[in-house]
Amino acid sequence: MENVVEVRNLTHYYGKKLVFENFNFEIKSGRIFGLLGKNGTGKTTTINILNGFLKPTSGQCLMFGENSYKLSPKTKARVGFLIEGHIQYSFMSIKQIEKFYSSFYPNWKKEPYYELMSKLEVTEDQKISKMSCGQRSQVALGLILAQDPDLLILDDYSMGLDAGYRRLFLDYLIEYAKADSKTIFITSHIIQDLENFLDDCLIIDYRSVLVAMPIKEFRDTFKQYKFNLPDASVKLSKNEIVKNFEILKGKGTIYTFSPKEAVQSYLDSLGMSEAQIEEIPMSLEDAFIGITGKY
Amino acid sequence: MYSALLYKEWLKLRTTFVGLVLLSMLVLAYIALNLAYYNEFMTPKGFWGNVIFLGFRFFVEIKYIPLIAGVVLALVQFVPEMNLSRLKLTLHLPVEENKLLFQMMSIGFILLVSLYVMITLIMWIIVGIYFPSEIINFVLNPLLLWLLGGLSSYFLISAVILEPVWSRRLVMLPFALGFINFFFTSEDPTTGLLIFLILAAVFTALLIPFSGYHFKRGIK
Amino acid sequence: MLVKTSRIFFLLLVTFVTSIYLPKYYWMKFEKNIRAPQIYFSPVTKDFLIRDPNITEIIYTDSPGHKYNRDDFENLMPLLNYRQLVVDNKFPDSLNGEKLEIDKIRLNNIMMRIYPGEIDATLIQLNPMLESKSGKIRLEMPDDFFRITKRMEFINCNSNKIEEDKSQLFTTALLEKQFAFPAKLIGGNPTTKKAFDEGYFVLDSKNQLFHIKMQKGKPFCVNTNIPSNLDVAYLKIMEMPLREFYGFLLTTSGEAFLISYDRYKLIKLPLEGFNIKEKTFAFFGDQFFRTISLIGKCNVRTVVTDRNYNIVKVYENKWEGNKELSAGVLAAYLFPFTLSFTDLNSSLSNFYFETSGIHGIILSVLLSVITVLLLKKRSIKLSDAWFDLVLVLVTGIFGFIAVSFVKNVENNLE
Repeated sequence: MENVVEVRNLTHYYGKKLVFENFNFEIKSGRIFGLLGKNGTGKTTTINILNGFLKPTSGQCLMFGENSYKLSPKTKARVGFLIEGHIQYSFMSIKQIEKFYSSFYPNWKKEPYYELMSKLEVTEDQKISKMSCGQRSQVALGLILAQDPDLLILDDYSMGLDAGYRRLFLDYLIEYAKADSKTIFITSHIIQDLENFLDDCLIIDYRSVLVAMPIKEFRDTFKQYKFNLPDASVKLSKNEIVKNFEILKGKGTIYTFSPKEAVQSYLDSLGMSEAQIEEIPMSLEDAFIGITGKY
Repeated sequence: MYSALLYKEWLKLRTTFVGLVLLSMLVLAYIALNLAYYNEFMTPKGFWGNVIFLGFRFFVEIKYIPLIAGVVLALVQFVPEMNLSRLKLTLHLPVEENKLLFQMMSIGFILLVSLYVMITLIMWIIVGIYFPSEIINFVLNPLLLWLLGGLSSYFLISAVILEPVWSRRLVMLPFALGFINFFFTSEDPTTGLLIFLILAAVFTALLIPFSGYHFKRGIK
Repeated sequence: MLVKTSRIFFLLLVTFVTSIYLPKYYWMKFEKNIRAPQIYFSPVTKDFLIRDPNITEIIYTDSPGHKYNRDDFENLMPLLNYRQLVVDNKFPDSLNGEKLEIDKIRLNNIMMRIYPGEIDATLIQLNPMLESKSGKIRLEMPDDFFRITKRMEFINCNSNKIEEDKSQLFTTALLEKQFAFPAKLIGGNPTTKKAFDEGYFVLDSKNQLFHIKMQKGKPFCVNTNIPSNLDVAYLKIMEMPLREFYGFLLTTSGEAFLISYDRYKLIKLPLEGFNIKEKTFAFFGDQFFRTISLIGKCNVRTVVTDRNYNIVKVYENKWEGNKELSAGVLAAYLFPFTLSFTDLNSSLSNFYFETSGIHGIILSVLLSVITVLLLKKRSIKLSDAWFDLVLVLVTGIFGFIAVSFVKNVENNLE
């Protein structure tokens, strides 16, 4: 399986401010890859570098084997890009924009686009600027489907969309992803939708990578353990075992990749050997919050 | 692909272009009216005398129209492109960036040249009603300079707009204006200077890749 | 590569614009209006009277150095100031053995200048042919203008159409005198504010000079038979009641002639060849003498002749121009060259380029060194920035400004 995207030791500074350092990850062909993180952690920066809009301070980013900063037009034609906020050439109408894009992409298929547009109940001459946010997202989606790219990059597709449109989006994406060798790269900070969609995930925090593994592995190995903590003087701290913790109303929570026994021995070391630890099942969103923290 | 781009730019520019054509027609109509007026009130030989001996420029109202056209076209074409998200849209297209910019520029160029040809032809006809070829030349020679100035202004202002870093923009602007000024203050150029100015106007188009290079780096 | 080339064009643009505006604003601030001296020749003392207009006091100095005030001047130049002298009751009866009469003075007084800017000015080559012998005192502007191209055509102002009959008439008359179309040069005085009209002097394409006018609607055309190898550059015709000469003829090699009324004989003025594009030609004549000055930017040569154009006296002088002032010296060091589109001596826009020689090189070299140091500081290889260096070396401060404003493209981006 080839690497559609390869990122090696990617570091970026805005002036003197460090955004992230030594990012390493791969996006394999046919996988659905999620870049998750709180706002301001560098997701958009990563996307900008990936698309060649930004030159990283150091490190390498390859897309289809090419330096992402200097993508050839041929490679660009294989990449579909959804901009945050579903930005489009809004001075055009539905018909005009399809006509415009069709000449750029060799594999253009207008049927999926018009199929989606028919669901919108607007005329062909409807100007995009006069459509609602949700409707515009549908146009954006339609255009991407018509382009039929090998790599689909979606920068926060869910922004401004209500539940109905988010679901529509996902339904189409899932259908799209079924084809072999279609790779999807999604960034988002709304996790719940992506629960059953992602294959791999990269969870980032300010300046560091927290998680880089297939979703299944993350769900299987990352656990939440709750226990009673009557003694308020006991101080929990982050370490190899404790990825994150919480203390609320006499109850403690530890998030960890380590097995239950390791957590037990940690509590023992704090003098809490009697504590009963209980595993709490987590959704993807819970796990995300667990690893990144609530604030 | 070029025709698609042409189509997109035309959609963006068509109202502006029509507006500029209308403006030019209005000014030309005004000049035509003036011609009739001067002819009547100065008497034809008096009018001819004023032009031949005093260099009376009865057509001066058209002087800055080409400049306005060039600047307005550049603004309408490229300011919207500098909006951050729009930039990303454009850069994502599977066309090499500089080629893209040149193609966009060529469309503005074609529109501008069409307008200028229109202006020149109409001026030729109007002046030709009242005056012989020597005076038509007297009109068209400075007009050519002003048209070249307008063309230069389109390229230079585009380059200034495409430059994403504000401090650099502020630096480029006075030099651009200083250069454009040459076209509007050079009276009666020699052939050598005229050829130079024509070439210079055309070469201002070649400044675009330099701004375009910054085009990409400006994304934050 | 494209980006680098584009940057080079940008550098050139900035350098070009700077090299025009920087010296321009510099001189706007520092230029002093240094005026040429006013030179008179007194028929009384038979000596020069020179006034320096750069000082406010009105003082005239003669050759030995005596100073005269305004009243003295008026007495010494009676033919010029006769009106004032009459009012002051100081007007002399006679001078140099001749009786002085106001009418005769007026008839003989001539004042004329030819500026270098006139010579290459682009003119609209349409002229009015006045009726020379209408019988009326006042001259009238005709309703048509003529051009002499493949033939002589009269275009009517009212209809903007060619008057075929008149055009044919004149063309035939010209052809009869072997006029070779088209005309190379046309000299005349197209105004009605003159005592009478002498039409036009026209140089044909074989360098023959013809005198053409219209008398009672009929063409008058005469070949003046000037030497055919004369490189005529400019004709200035002025109708003077004196009727001694029709006007002046200047050649490209810097000779000046009068076209006399005696069968168009050319009277060569006793001047050494001068650059007609750089010197103002000033001709002042009175009853006794001719005072002819050639005025340059920082020098003047005045030749005084008698009425037969034999030299009587010569005056020459030089003075310091702006270049010699401290502002000028500084400018020579600051600007390795100056570029301008305009020039005082021409009405055409062109490239007017002047280098300041050795002086400019010093600063250029210094700035080049600074550029090298700055490049090293920003770790840019000299081989990548060769154009910048060459630009600063050649254009000095202009290139330096350009290079400072237009940062180098990073090497690894191509």
